[in-house]
Amino acid sequence: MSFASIDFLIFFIVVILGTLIIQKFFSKRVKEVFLLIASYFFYGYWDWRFCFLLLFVTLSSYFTAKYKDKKGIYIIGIVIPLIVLGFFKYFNFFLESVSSIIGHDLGILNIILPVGISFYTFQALSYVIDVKREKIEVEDDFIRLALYLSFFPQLVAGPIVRAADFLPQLKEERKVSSENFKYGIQLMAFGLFKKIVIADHLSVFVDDVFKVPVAFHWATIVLAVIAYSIQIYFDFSGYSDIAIGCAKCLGYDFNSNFNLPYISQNVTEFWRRWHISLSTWLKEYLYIPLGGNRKGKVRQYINLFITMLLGGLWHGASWTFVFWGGLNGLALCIDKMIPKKKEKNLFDKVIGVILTYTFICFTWIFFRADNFTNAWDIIKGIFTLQKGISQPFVWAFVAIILLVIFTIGAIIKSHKNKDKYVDGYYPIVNLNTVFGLTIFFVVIGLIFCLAFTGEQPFVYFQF
Amino acid sequence: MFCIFYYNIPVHSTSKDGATDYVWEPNKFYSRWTEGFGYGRTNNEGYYDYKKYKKSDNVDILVMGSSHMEAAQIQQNKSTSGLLDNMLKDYYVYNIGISGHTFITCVSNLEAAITKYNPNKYIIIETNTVTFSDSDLNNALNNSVEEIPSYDGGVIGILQQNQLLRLLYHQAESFLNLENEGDIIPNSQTNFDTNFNLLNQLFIKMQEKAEKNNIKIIIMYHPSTTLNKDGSLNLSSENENIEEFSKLCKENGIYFLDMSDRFREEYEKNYILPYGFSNTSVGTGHLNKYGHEMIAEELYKLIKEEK
Repeated sequence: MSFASIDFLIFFIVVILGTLIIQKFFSKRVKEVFLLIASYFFYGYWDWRFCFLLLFVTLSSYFTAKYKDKKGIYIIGIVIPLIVLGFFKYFNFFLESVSSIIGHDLGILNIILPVGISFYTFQALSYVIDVKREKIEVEDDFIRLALYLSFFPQLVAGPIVRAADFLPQLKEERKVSSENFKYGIQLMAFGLFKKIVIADHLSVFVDDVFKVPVAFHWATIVLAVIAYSIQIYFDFSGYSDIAIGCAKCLGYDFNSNFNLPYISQNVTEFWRRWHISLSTWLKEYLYIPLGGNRKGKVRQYINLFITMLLGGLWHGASWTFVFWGGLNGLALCIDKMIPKKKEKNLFDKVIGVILTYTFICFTWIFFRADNFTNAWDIIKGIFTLQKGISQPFVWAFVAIILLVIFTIGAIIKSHKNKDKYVDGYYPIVNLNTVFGLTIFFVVIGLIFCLAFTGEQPFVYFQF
Repeated sequence: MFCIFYYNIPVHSTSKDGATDYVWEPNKFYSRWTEGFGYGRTNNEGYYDYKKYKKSDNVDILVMGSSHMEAAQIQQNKSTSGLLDNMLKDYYVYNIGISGHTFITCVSNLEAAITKYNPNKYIIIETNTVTFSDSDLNNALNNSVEEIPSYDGGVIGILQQNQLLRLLYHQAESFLNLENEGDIIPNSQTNFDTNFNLLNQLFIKMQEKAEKNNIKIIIMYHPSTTLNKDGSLNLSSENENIEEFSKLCKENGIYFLDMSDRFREEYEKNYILPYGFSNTSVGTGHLNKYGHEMIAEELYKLIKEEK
């Protein structure tokens, strides 16, 4: 069940009302069980068989973490989620790649990719590793661990919530309250606006151009690449906002997953602002165990590159994703090599933002393209100043304007607060006032009126 | 306020004269920015023609057709009939194209339209397909084509006047995938062949009416377009029996204007597609201003040649 569906709306209302009733008349335990059942129902709505896989990963994490001191069992705890992820997501990719190398078709298996598998396997890994590192204690309560891994707001497309951040919240007395609800519902509305009004409309144009790039004028292709950079940002950050808002309504807090990535002045900063929960995960559970920056410069670059290469592969079983990860890894290495100025003037900052954004847009071409030929057609179309269909897609300009307005708003806000680091913010209004309520309902009305009503799943569902 | 510009569609009511199944609310401002950025005012009869119609008007060319001819997505004077009216200075062109009116519906309304407007020269009937089912053809022959209903009375009629509710209904309907698409008529995705015997009978019937009033019928066919992987244009006419249809038209003294060659030429030379807008998918949906221009020019050529 997608967040942008009537089914989810009904589900969410039932969960909120159910939780409200339970917290009033029953114990915290009943609420945990209720949320766990709700989460499994949410997941099983796609395909009930997926629930068994989720349960299997949960059981393996639960038992292996208990025996963290036994190296063999600890390794099993790491390997099981990786095998599950590897088999369901990468097995056919592996077969296809081997087939093309040996020049003999090995065929493929009919494997369904369970939604959200990349997210909950990473969460399971983070739990087992954190227990081993003694960052958190072993969770003896199976229900709580199961709820951590299956909690529906973040189950299918993140953010990747670390056990150390979420398990302690489950032990606290978190409640559905008026304050939480007012805040959470606004985040959800904000996310929904980004997703179904902006990102989904942009997808129409982006899909057209990426489907037949050879038919379009070079300027239209450039606009489509820019539109895709905004589409993926609004789609994924919109999903994260809905997830964060949804959890907030239920009384739980998730860290923000995006922080104005397109104002980054270099690629390193971009990865601090983009998909923060994944970059943090990769840093803590891959880059640092590989040696991080502790074993000299060369090893640091290699570690960075490997981390990003695998980060690319995490996004999808395709060489285009690996290449995308590799490009980012290379850029991160180069960025580390370049000495940084201590004080940057405005010109340096602007140039930094433009260069970084241009590079990121270039890498998005490989991320979005169906294959290398498709990506090459896009690049060739731009650099050969190809003639073709001109499509000045209006929603692309609307999206650019909105993005610029929000970014300028965030910069002004940071300057007022005298913050050196510009942070994004949610335009939260006070729903206790008539003005606030009016604004909220106008926004809700606009979302319904302007929403793209065609079929367009969240981009990150496929990962 | 928002809906006045973004989505403002008049309510329609059953047409009394039968020239079309229904007419829009007369003299009403409309706009629809969900596809293109068209706006304008319905005329005194409730059509999207920019001219007011008086009984004493001497109509030379009557344009019949679906939402493509209605052209709600573009400015009124840029529609096929608007352009044709400007090109043919000495002819009075009147447009009664209206949403949902397929070729079969138009043929079924032909007699009533001729009776009412009594055009002097031509009747142009627009179609985006030349493939018809036996039941459609039989219905047209027996005058039993189902009429498009109007819900202008009662509670639904009142609710329809609220544009916000109407937009929300439209959104919900498409969101739930329940929309019974009455806007664009799907073309040529058929798994049957036209029964040319039945079609011949229909043409004879149409031509009888036309000859009685000393007018000529032009069937204007505009195929839909899709882009192939290599960037070339694919036209739905490639899947239809155009040759047979065209031959039958000729035998019955009906002019047949096939837009396929012009659409292809315009794409190959200038990369212009006849469908789609700057806020919708490329090459799909309703005719855009270029599509209307191409059709108007081709109609103009045909009429000039015949003059």
